[in-house]
Amino acid sequence: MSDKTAKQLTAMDAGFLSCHDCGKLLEAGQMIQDRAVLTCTRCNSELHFRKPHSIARVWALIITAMVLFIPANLLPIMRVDFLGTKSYSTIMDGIIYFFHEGEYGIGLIIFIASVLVPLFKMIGMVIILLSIQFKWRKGLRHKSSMFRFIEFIGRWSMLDIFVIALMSTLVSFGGFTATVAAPAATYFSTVVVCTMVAALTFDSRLLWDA
Amino acid sequence: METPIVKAKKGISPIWILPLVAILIGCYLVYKDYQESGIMINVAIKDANGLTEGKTQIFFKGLPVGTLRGFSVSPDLKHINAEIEMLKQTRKRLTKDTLFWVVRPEISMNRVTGLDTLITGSYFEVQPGSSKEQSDSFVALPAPPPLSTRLPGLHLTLHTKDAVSLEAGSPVSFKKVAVGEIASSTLLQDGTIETKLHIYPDYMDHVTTSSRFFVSSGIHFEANLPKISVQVDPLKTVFRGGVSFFTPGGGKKISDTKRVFPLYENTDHAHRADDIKIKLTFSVDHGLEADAEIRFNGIKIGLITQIELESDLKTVHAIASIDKSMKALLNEDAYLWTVNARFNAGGISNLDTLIKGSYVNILPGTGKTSQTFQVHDTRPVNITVNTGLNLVLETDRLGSLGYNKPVYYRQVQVGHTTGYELSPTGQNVLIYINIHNPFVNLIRANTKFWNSTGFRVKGGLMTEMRISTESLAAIIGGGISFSTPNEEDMGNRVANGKHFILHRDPDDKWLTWSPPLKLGNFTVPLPPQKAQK
Repeated sequence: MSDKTAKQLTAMDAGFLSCHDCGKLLEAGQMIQDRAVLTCTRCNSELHFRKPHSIARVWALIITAMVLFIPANLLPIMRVDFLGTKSYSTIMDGIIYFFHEGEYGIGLIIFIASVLVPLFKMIGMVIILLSIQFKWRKGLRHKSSMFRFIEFIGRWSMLDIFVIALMSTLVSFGGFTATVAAPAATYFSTVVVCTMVAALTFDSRLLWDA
Repeated sequence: METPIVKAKKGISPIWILPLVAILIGCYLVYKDYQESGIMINVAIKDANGLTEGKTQIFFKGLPVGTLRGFSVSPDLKHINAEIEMLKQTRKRLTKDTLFWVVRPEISMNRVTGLDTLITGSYFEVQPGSSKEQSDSFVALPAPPPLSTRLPGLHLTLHTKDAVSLEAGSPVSFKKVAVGEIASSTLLQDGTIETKLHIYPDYMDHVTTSSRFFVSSGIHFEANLPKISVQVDPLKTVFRGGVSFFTPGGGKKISDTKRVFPLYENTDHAHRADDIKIKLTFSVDHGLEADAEIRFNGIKIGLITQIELESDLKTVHAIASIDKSMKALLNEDAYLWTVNARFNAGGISNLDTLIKGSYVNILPGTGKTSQTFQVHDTRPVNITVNTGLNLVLETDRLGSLGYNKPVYYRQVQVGHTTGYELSPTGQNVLIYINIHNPFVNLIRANTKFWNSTGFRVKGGLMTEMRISTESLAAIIGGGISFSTPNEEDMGNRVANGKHFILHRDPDDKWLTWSPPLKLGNFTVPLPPQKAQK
């Protein structure tokens, strides 16, 4: 295990870099100079050994997501107007409602998609970032597979937002009843967007560089 | 070969603006929450049915001003403490006399309230107080408070002893227009129902000191043959009941709001409120029922409101209410009698009483105003008619004559009998007749009267036989005929009250008389009126 994860010669060390977009492998060799911009010979996109400022950007995005995750969960995400009476519900209210109604499946899906997944993503990214910064080289493979999972699962957190978007267009009967998105919807979608962008910005090779 | 020194770019990446913005938003939210955090108060309620923490709201005039946060049961288990978070702006208004109550759906026969609570659940309503002293614990009212007497408009109090069911919020109508509403209706210690009204400012002028208020039950059905009337109040009143009023002229503007108005049971009672109440005493078999009419000359002047058996169980007395304007009729010696349907050979009389029920007729007399009267079973001996000529006929027997029998002149009706009685000595019968006005001149001092009832067979078997008849009506019903002698023997015109003999049969000679007598209206001085029995 430790053999496999031990520091080995990398492409960067050997002066090779691959294009982020088309994957063409190029030899940088002596071409690295100050302020020089390398471009792919095939697709003309900018070349980097590693995604630039990856760690700083991911940190910034993850911190943003974590901060906004608090109001996203505490503030109401949806407002239902019924005969002039407004009732607000937070994400947890909705989940509790479904569990009370015996709809365990739907409750569980919403709980996983809206609470567990964002939390998992944020905590996972923090662990990855910390292990890079403090050079924790244990379980790198697990970490990288966790990262792939985070990258894949990210979009599913938007489930809640889709539900609200659908509800507010479908359930709109004037004064009788209407469903409107409440402030937390904005915060929540920002959280999801931030974590997704963080996953995109992160260069998983940094795990192995550390 | 030297490798170039790779330096990290200095400065902070612009991406760090993102968490900064997020933190700013967070700070703003915390600040806003602090700004908007409400005031926690306690309201003691009887039960928490239909109330949900976090959802149940507190409304003031339909605007949410607070939210129910939680419940706790009082240590003595007698009530529930509702913990309520009120908006910050309400701070100054949460005074000692602030009122809270729970609005729940209420469906009763005559109204539906709080329908919205069926769907949204019950909610609290609040009415701010005016006291200076602030408070944070309150006791919820069991029902919405009565309308504030501080509202502009007129606030009136009605009292009634009747059993009436009125609900707060029901309309007060004037000419079927809602001009106010019932603020409250409560049963007082002494059994009086006290109803408080609020008349809207626009309609204040319609209420005066003479206004009369009555319960408008909605549908008023009155079968008073031949007229049947069904009055339906506005639908709102039909369902909810309410109070109506009308204002006879002569009232003054209301300045004293402490004035208490009586509340009448229905329109009739209200209209008869200032009627004269009289007491009638009956023989036991009177055939009358409550609501029987009292009539004068065929016109309804009042009605019997209640009939009771006297405590000696022998006589019946009734309370009647007579229209105020008919006060002049209620003299000490006024004669009252009951009128029932009657069938006899002379015809059917008072047929209308079969359908409308018996009634009481009144014949006014003279003398002081009285309020107690004896009601007779029979009509008065003689109903004096004030026009025409009143005469008295003396005869030995009544025959089939009676009241209101025709008096004929040449088989033309010119008068009628107004009554009869046995003469004071019992020797003969006195029949009172009235000759109608244009025919007064036909009566002269020597006029002969005879009974024209039936037909007469005259003569004998051996002699000539003659059958004389009068008109068919006279044959069956009976009647009186008269004839006046020719010019030189006719005599002078007569005064009222003159006595004549009523012959059984006419003399043949009388039938040949035919004096020229001018018809016309002659005023005949009435003799001093005889006191009726």
